[in-house]
Amino acid sequence: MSSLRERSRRLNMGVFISGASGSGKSRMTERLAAPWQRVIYVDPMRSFRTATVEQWPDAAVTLATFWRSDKPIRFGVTFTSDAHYVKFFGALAALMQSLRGQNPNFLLVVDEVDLWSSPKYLDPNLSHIFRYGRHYGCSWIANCRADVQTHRDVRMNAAEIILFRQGMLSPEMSKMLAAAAIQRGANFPEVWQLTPHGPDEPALAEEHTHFLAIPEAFDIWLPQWHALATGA
Amino acid sequence: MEKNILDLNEIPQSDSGTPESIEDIIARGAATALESEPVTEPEAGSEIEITEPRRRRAYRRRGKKELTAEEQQAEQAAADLDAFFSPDGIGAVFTNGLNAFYLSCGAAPLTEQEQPMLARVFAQWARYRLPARASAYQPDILLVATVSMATLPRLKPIAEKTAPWWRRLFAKLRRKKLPNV
Repeated sequence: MSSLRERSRRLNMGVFISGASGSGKSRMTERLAAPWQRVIYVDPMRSFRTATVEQWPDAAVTLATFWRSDKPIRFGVTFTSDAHYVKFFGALAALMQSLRGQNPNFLLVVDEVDLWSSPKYLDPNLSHIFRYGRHYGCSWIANCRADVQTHRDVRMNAAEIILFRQGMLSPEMSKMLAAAAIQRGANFPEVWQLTPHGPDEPALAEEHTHFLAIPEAFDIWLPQWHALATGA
Repeated sequence: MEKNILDLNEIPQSDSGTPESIEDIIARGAATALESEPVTEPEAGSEIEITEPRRRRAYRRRGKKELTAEEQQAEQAAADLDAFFSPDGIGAVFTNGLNAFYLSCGAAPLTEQEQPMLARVFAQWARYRLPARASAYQPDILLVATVSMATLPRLKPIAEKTAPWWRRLFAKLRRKKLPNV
């Protein structure tokens, strides 16, 4: 079995998930994060069941431990101050760049990414992570309620985009969806026609019923993601 | 003691020439992050650059704060439409896969020949307003009917009760002698 260091040389990737509240994006995030051994959750709304740190000094210590350790670790940050998130992203980007080639392979989950990203604003360190994280052993999942709320750096650097039920899409995303439908010879339902993946629905969300996945079909893309997560 | 898996010889050197520890890097990254400038402007050719209305770009270019009477009128029209499309109003706006914007009004669907004009008006409005206000429309946006020009007469009785903007729109469309108006 390959070591975590060796795995970091594999091609990491980003995933962008959007959907209205209750549409199933958090469940999908948990599903995608499950096979990963090392995960950092940026979890401002406490959406995920994981141990979280709330103060910057604690987060810095935890981050250092995370970076040094080769063991499976999952932790979340839920800060009380916005400045702490900014510091956290800065520290993460600095570690990735400074220790390039020695970074552990890990997954970064950024929930409610629109808190640090709007069409005209993106935290510069987060932008760096989204754009170049794959070179530093970092795969990421960013989720928010609507793609129009985010900077295009987030959406355009995602290897896979998963859209749950929502009211509208940005023009760019609409075009991507139309292009994917043509390429795959499929008729996609409109995003507002999707069924919310609530508690009464099947445990695993289904493509074209609960969500749309572009550019690749979810079933084709998912094995690549699993291989990346498990080093298989 | 916890094993440090990094090779100290390969750890970047700080300015003083000593190896920079993980803690040092974290502290440096955090301190720099607070000073760094956010990405505030879209890149040239990006979606925002394309969709931001020309008028607003012009304001920004000129650094202008005061609006002319015409600009104020345009702002007012947009604000009226905003009110009309409030979540409690009769309509809702959304986009479909082809970037067309439609009005949900309860009226019967109408002919296709007369369709594009009003869709264009709404598209213009939606580009102007929606990105900033998208969250207001997020939870329950529904399509009811495709709007076409032939919808206008049927919409009129409803519209007159709800939004003065519509009266101005009718007047404007008639003045311009657009087809089918």
